[in-house]
Amino acid sequence: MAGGQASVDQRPPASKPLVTFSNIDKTYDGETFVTRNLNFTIEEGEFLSLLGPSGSGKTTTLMMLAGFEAPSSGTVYLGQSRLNETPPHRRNIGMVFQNYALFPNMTVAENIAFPLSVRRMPKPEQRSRVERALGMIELAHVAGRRPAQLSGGQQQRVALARALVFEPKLVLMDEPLGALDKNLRETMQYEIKRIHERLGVTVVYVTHDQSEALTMSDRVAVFHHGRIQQIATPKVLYEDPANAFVANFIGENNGLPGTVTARDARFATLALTPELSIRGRAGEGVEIGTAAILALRPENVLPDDETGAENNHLRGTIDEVIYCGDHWRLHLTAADRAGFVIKVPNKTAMAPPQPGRVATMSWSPDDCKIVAADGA
Amino acid sequence: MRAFLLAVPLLIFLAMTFIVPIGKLLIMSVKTDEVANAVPRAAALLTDWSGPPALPSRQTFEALAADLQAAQDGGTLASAARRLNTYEPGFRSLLLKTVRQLPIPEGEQADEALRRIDQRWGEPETWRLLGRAAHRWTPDFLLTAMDHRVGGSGAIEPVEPSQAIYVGAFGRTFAISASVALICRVLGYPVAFLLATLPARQSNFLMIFVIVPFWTSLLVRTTAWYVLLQPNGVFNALLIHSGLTAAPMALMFNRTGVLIGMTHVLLPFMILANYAVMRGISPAYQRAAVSLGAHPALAFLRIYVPLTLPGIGTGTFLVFVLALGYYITPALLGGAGDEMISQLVALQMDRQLNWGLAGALSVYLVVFTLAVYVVFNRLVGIDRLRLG
Repeated sequence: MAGGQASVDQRPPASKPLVTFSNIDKTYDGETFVTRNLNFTIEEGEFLSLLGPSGSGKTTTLMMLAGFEAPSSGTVYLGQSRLNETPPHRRNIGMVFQNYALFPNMTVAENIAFPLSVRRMPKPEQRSRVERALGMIELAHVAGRRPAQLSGGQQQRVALARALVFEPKLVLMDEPLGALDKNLRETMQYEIKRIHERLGVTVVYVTHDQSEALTMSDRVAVFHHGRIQQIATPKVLYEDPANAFVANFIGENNGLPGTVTARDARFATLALTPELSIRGRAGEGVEIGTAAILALRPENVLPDDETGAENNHLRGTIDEVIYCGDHWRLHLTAADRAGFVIKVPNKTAMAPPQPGRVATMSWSPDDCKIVAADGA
Repeated sequence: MRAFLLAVPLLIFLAMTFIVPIGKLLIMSVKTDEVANAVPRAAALLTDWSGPPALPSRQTFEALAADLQAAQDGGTLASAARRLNTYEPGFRSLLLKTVRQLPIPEGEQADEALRRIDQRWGEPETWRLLGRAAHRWTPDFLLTAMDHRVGGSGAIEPVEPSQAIYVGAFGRTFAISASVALICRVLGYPVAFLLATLPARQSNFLMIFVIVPFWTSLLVRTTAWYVLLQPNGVFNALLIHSGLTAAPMALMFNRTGVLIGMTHVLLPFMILANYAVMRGISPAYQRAAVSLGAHPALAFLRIYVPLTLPGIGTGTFLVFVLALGYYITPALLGGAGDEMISQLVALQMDRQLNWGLAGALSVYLVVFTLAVYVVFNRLVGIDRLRLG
């Protein structure tokens, strides 16, 4: 199992690409591109999420991998061999669909046996495999039922078992939890993650839910306008966004705009107003004189702190205070803009922040980043 | 309660124009008053008669003679004579001949007088038939419609083969309806699949070709086929011109014409029924099957076709049931051997004026249709029935 080794390294593991996308373009009319110049690899055993708003090209990318869409140009490799011309039914890739697509005219057991029966596996082996798959999803007691008699979560698990029962190396999931309610979704996230780790299968997971992507994935590819904006581990994605789109799309961000006035090897200075500058880690493509935005997470900001000459300081008026249990959420007007958000950890004995007061916020240059403004 | 009140005008309309006339016709298949009304006294006396080989009592002869005269004066004789003629050809002329020579001269006994007028009054069989016809309720029409009758001994027996036409006509009606349903299924399924899977614009465009004939009058379409299929019509002209045949093919006044015409008229029902079901089938099922390793053709057979079974069932049911009652198309395009049961009903209604037999044939048609409905409901479920 790829994920089970006693390695202390962060994922991804040693590079062994299972799938390679090389210069993939997809266009229907030759003018607008659904995906543009996709270049990335999927490592064996990896859990890769394709994350993006709707229409960003993530599902099309998945469909090209499944074989239901053909790239307009470029090559998809599975291992070392070209995959473009292989018809979908010979790709041996499992797939879980958004609305499960369980065959309503078959029982649960027949659904799970379907990929085995089309492979002409002997009946006794089919039976034992179906039994094992049903055991894995803990649904042995519903084997004889029709999909319509199952709850949404059960149907989802059956769809998962069906996509895994023929032991594909790669399983694709197209927003598989989109139709479930919140609690069930979290349970199923955990379940999918558990199965992924147990079987060591490679998973490509399409979602528009960023928290799902962050909690489940080894790596996340963020799509926007048909391009991959950044492909990285969740930690890098959150703390070191490559551009303004990623910074704003993943988590909450105080994306104050400005102009770059200075930069060195590590840091850049962003002038929000002629009098007010912020220093932070410099992102790629940040040059003096260009427009850029601040990437600053609300939890990185301390209120009422004027210490540390090297730290950034920003004065703001508290507009609104929201009690969130474990933290206070403050909305402020700072640098002449409303909507600056900070999170203050809550302590029981603490005096609650008062609206209308002026606060001096501070954060270290290492806790923020200056990223190029144009994310497209 | 409010819902009921809102529906009351429609219910009244339906009751007056639909339920009452149909109910009357169906009742006519077992009820017959003409003879009982025309010769009431003789009818009453005949119920006490022990039957052949004896003749009825002299009073019965007297009553009949009196009744016949009264019936002629009252104007009820003609319908009674027509009714009796359906039992035995010649009965009508017997009655009219008899009534012309009445009243019986003074001093002559009624039984002798009647036998003098016509010796058939001396045969018990004549009286037996009169007695049967004089019952107000009769199974005779229902038996006739199944090519059976009550014989001289009172037992039910088949009619002579030369008069047995109705069972054959029912069989033919079923065979034609089943053939039409089958042909429609074969022709309609692929078209429905095309309509359901094409992009909306092309699909809507093609749908016009299904819907416009659907909206066009049945008579117009049948007449159009009449023109096309004639021996020197468009079809044969094309066939001969292209060299496929040397002489005109017989495309109408035979079974071929009936099947072509009825298939064309009923095909939209099959297409729309299948289309309604197919449009509701998510393409994800096919994709899922293919992604699980099934060749697209196998995925179609094992996943798609079973999912369309309700559409196939609905379409077949609709076409079959509608075809059962077809009248105009087989009448115009069919030949002598293609008469369907509705044509025979119409024949009895407006030519033979035998409404009782027409009612009896209708009863069987309704019963058979209901049986088909019950079977369909068992197999598919009537709630699956929808169009578009």
